Amino acid sequence: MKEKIINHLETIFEDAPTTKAAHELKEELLSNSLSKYDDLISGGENPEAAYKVVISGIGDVSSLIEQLNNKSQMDPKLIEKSKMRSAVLVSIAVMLFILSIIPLIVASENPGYETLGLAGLLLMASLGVALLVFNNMTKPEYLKKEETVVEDFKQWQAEKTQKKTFRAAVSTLIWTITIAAYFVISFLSNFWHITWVIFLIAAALEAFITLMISMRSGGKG
Amino acid sequence: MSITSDLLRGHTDTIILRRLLHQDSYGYEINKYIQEKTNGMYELKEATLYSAFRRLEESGWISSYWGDETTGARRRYYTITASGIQAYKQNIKDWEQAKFLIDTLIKEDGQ
Repeated sequence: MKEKIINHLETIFEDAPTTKAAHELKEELLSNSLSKYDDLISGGENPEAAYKVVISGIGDVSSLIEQLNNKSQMDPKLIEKSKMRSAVLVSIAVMLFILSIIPLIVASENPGYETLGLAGLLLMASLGVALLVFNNMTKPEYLKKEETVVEDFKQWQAEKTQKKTFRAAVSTLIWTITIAAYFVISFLSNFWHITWVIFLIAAALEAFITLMISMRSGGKG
Repeated sequence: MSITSDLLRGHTDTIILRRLLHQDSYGYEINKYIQEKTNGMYELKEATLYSAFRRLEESGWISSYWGDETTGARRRYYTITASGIQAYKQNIKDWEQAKFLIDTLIKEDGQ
């Protein structure tokens, strides 16, 4: 008789999407139905009658399965909001990159303040990088429409490529800024003997960011 | 009876929360509890019960975990969260107020 209950559930879930949620619902229904059946039997019910009670209790779960089908995973308002936030962060970061030259220019007009100007540039540039990194890390992941295996795979792929392109972008950004900063600072200050240190700083910064990225994915895995 | 069950259905969430306030539980046990408590006068439809679970879970009022039954299918247990307890208290408050208002409005004076 228990076999019949299992078969009944299999039939109900034939048209259900092959998602984790649907599978779990089936398992939940099954364990509860079997408990009910056992209870009825130990209450003196005969197997046939108990089976009928259990089946009628399960009743129409098609509405539930439908719910599983068209469950929107994410509120469009939320998506809109996070897009907005991302745009603002990126704009501020770009603005910081562009404006970071100002301290240097100001410093070059005032002899004696070159170091301060350089510090200002580095500070603004690193703030910009930090904003970009922060934005990318807090961005919602590829939004899942359905929790199927295929979707899981797609998400995994998206995450992987996203990480790769992100790392490449950060790397390019760091070295472009570094080279530009090297020449600007060197020409303005004429401290060619020491300005090469900026490359060391850039290398350290890149290593640090790479570490942060891999630590993040490690924590998730 | 149809008005009664409509009214009751509106409180499915609170009924479930109340049971979970007492102990972690699973679908069939909750329904059995409802039946016993009402002397068999009321019982939730499975679809109602499970969609309530999903809804409560999405609201963050309950969370679920799988039991480790060695025989047969695994059971899905539900547990109430801190915000679930808050929601339960609020629901009780709302109900008290609604009960008072409805009594005032539909009962004849002196009854």
